[in-house]
Amino acid sequence: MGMQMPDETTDQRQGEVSQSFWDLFVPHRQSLYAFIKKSLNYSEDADDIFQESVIRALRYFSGYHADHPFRSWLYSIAHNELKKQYKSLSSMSMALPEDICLKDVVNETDPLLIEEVRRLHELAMELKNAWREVFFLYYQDGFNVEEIAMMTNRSGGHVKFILNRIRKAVKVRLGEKP
Amino acid sequence: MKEQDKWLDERIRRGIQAWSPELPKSLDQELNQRMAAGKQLKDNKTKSGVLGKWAAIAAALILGVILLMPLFRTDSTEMINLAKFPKVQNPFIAPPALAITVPKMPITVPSGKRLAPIVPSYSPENSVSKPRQLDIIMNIPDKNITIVWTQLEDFDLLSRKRKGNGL
Repeated sequence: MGMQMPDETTDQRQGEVSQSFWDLFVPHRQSLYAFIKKSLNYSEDADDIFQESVIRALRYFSGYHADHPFRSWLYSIAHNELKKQYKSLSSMSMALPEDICLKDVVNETDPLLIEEVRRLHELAMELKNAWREVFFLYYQDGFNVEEIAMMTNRSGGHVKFILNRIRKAVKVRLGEKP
Repeated sequence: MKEQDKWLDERIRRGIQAWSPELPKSLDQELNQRMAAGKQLKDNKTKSGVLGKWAAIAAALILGVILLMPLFRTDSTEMINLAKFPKVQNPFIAPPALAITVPKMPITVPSGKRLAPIVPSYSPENSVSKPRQLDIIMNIPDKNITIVWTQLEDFDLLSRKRKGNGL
């Protein structure tokens, strides 16, 4: 499916704005895609949500203030797009992609690590949508509690609560004492 | 955060970051195309920006010439700077014996009102009968000149007042 971007040819100024956007966006495109894909449990709709997030970010880039981290701003937009998708999505895939743990894993020769990676991702798939987002924002993308709270319109206490509940679930899943 | 939780966090982080779905090549290509289009637009803007700057300078020069043209216009009629003149002392002053020619160009009176003189020349002989419109009367004592710019609706009133004053 082609990306339906705004008509840039009509506005020369947009060319400069657009270029600035891409300069900032490129370093985060892979991680943003992974975040959206994982948050949607590897649904094929993730590609559309990713595109929609990029379009929206480009469209509203003129309103972005450089004194805020671009990455947080970008993920906030993705979060809003994900929220819309949660409402309209009746069911999400509950199966891990086949290629997980078979390639691109840091240490393919370590079967224990491979198994742990699989278990963690399976656990994430079972979490509530909102919790799963927090989970990946914290553990995959490295945002801190305050950043996640701001991006997802939650209190810091609520984010901490979610993370604590997830830790307990992880301990159980990995066979640790909760 | 407990030390145990820190260790667990590190373990989760390592497991989660160990694998991530890759951006599909088709999406990546589209993004690259968009980026290239954005760069092209920026380059175009730079080129047209240079051209636009010269166009703006030329337009400003032309506009300046048009605006300043009246100041350098050679006209047989002497321009009268009304700002230098004293304010109206007596609007019903008797017409002087000297006939004058009012400027043909539109003028701005001290009150900011812009007037186009309708009567090209003024003389005592035609001062009452010919002016069709009266707006303002100015007295230039040192030259003993009265200049009349007129508005039609006031003329009858002026005529009546002049008659009443015995002028």
